[in-house]
Amino acid sequence: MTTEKTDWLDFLLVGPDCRDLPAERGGWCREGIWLSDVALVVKVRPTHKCLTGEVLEQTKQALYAFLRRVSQTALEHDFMRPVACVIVLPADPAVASGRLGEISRAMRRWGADQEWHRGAFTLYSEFDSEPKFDPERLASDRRVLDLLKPQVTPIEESERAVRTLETLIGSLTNEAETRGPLEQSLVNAVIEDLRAYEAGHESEAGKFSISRWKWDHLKPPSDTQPAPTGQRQPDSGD
Amino acid sequence: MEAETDVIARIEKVTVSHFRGFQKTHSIDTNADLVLITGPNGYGKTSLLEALSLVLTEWRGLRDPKTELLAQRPGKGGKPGSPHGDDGFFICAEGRTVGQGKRALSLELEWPGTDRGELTVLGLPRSRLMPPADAGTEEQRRSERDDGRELTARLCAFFQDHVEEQFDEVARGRTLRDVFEPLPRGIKEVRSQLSGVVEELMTRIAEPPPQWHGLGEDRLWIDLRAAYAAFRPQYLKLAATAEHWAAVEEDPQTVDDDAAMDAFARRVLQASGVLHRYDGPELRDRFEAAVSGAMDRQKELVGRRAAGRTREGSRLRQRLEKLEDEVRRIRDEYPRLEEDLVALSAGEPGQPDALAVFRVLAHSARRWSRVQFAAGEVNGALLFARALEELRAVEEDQAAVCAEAIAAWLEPRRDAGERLRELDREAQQVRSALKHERASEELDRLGTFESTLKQTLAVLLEAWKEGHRFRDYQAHSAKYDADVTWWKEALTVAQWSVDRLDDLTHASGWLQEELQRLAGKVLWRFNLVDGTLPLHLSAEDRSYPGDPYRTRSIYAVRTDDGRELCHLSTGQRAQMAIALLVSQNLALSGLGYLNHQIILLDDMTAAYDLSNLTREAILWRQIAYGENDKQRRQVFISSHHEDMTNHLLDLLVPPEGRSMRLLRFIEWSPSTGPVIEESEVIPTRGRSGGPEGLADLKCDLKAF
Repeated sequence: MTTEKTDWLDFLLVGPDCRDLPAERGGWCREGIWLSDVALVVKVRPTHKCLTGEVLEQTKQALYAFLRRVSQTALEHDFMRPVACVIVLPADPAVASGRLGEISRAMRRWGADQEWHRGAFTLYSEFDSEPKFDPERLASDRRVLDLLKPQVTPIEESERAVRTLETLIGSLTNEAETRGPLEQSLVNAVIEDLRAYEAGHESEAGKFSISRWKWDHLKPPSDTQPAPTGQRQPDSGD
Repeated sequence: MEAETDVIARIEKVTVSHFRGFQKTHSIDTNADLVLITGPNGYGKTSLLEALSLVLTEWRGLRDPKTELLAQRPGKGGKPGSPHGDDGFFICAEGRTVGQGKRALSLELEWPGTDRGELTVLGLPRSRLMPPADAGTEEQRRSERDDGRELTARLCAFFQDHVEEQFDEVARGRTLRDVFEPLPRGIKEVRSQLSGVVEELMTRIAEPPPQWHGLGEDRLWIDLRAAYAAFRPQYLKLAATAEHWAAVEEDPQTVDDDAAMDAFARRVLQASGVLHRYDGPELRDRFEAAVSGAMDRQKELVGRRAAGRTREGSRLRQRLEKLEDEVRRIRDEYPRLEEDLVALSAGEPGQPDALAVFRVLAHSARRWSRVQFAAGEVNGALLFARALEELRAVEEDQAAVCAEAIAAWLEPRRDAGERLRELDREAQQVRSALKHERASEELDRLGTFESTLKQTLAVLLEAWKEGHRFRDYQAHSAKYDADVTWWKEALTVAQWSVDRLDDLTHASGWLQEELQRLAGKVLWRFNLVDGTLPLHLSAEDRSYPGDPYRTRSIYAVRTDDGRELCHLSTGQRAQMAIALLVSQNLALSGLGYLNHQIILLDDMTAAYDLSNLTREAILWRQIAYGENDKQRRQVFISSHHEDMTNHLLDLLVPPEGRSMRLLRFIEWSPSTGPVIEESEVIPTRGRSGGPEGLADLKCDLKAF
């Protein structure tokens, strides 16, 4: 976490807006601008005016101008990066279906509006606390960090149980040993069939073992011996 | 497995000769973190990526190497061309490993004589994704090698034209699940057989127990006793009548149940010479046959005896009738015959009758009139004297006439009387003969007896049968209980085996969750429609097309709202495929499964809009220019859409310290193949390029 935090700060170019917002920022305020070798990330937060719908359309125009300006400025300084804008929406599920939901949908529409952004930047709208992959981090922060420095954790092989035919047979045999002779006889039949299949002797596997076990145990016991069931010894081995 | 340092980190130069779109020999510098290949369709971009895929994975798809891999000579008049010479094709990729060593991969195939199984790349490090080389038959090993190659290809190469093949559902070969959780060959059949046993046992156990719908047991035996009581007299009569049947010496007075009846029936059969011990319906049938047989034989005997006499009897009866008719006629003619004969006959034997008297009178009347009797003779003499006195008055002629008259009246009566006596004698004889005709009457009587016998026998058999049925029910019921108890025990065992097998072979949540999480994380970077995320991987088992006994353990893709692959748009499918490729490729980093760190992406701009193109570019930059060495990949991207490609080029410009090459396929000639313009893209300033630039930028940005 320490390293991540350090990276996070290292990437930061500009922090949040000061209190006196420029006039054209009626609809949103800047949370920060970050730069990595991967992308230039701008994080903005809609203002109350924007959320109440007063300046939504103006916000769109102003945001476009702002992002283009950031991109151009970076290019002027010889930093050519794709620009990603993360729009932070307040996390309040109660209003998600109301005005906030509408704003969220509008943001998605903006992102898909190719006539508007012309591929100059891409938009991500994130609720402040949407615990999708990392409950400990705000969704918007997680998005910013993922854009700047993505991490894909390799598969942890230590968690993997090695599975082969022999390990399977070993497990089955061990478990059958703690059971009765009937279980052992069926497990033996299963193992015999599996080995036959493994050796490519399908016809043998189909004819014997489980089929034979089935033959022995599906016919009524009264057909084979008159003794009560409790006295029967099914795994007599004959 | 090769050492991690032997993993190929970068392809620096590719030489392709006579491979697909490449006529002659082309050497291309690819020594960069990211190689962008542009140009119109048909100029050889995909051929280059396919050459790289082939040399990095040995996977040639499902193609026939000769007809599809080899460069084609141009045909004339629109006719298809022929393979370019008979000397095959050649691909060589020179690169360096993670350990900075030089590595050359070369693939040379010659025709004729090279078949599919001989395609081997020299210098290619071994991958843990490949199956073990020592298992199964040669044919199986070859098939499994192909399957392994397909998987390695799916983890590093994306071709827009074959986007479906990126998914486990559509691909034919091994999957990551097969690598991490291999299932034994034939496991499905074994499980299926076990399930079959379970199902069959469950079906048997679910069968309803036997039910008794008849009378109560007590009532059954009461009925049987009554039926036997009715039958017994008939049986005794039969035993007494039947001439050729050995009945039992002592029949029971009563039978109390079916067992007693069985014992009696067996004794009857034994007495009849049947030594086999019959039971149940057969015993009943045999008993019925024995009784009916005795009856039938007796009837036959009597019938046969009567049959010989029947014609004679008929004749006798006719004769008797005639005799009786004649007697009747005589009686009608002489109704007072006996009285008349008595009246004119002698009163006592030796005395003359009336006719004799009149004849004597007629002959002796005159002479008798002269006879003198002395006075005082005996009373008889007096009476006779008196008679003579009367007779003296009779004239001889008159007496003769009277005698004649009496004779004419008396003679036929005397003849009739004689005839009656004769007839009576003859009738006596006929009747005596007719007495033998009693046999036919016996037959009639036997018929009546048989009817009664059979009636009582039928009732007995029915009661007896019901008793047997009840015993069968009891036996069946006991058997059912025993069977079900046994089957339940067997079911427990079979179900346990199925469960154990499932437990030991089921898809581990670990791998599923890992892959799901990783793919979802990559997909999260795209602007997907609602309901798509989180991505779900559903573990399923399929069979290999060429080997029904091998199991492909796949993960089928499902969106969060349940849509399957077939319900996704082309763009969504491409995004899913890319997400799976990238996430799985990166997830296997440093574990020895991948023998190279190269990702090939063909026609990447085809399925994306401008918005997602930017996101995609960020993704490729992350992979090609990222800071994590283990997760960095050399990326080859081809694109044919000019506007999109130019935009993509801007988006992919490398930062300082990273490199990018641009390969522009500007022309293609049938005789030489593509004309490629190669250039290096100049990096822009990177974060590591010095603090000055960053400080200036920060300063400017703060002013916004």
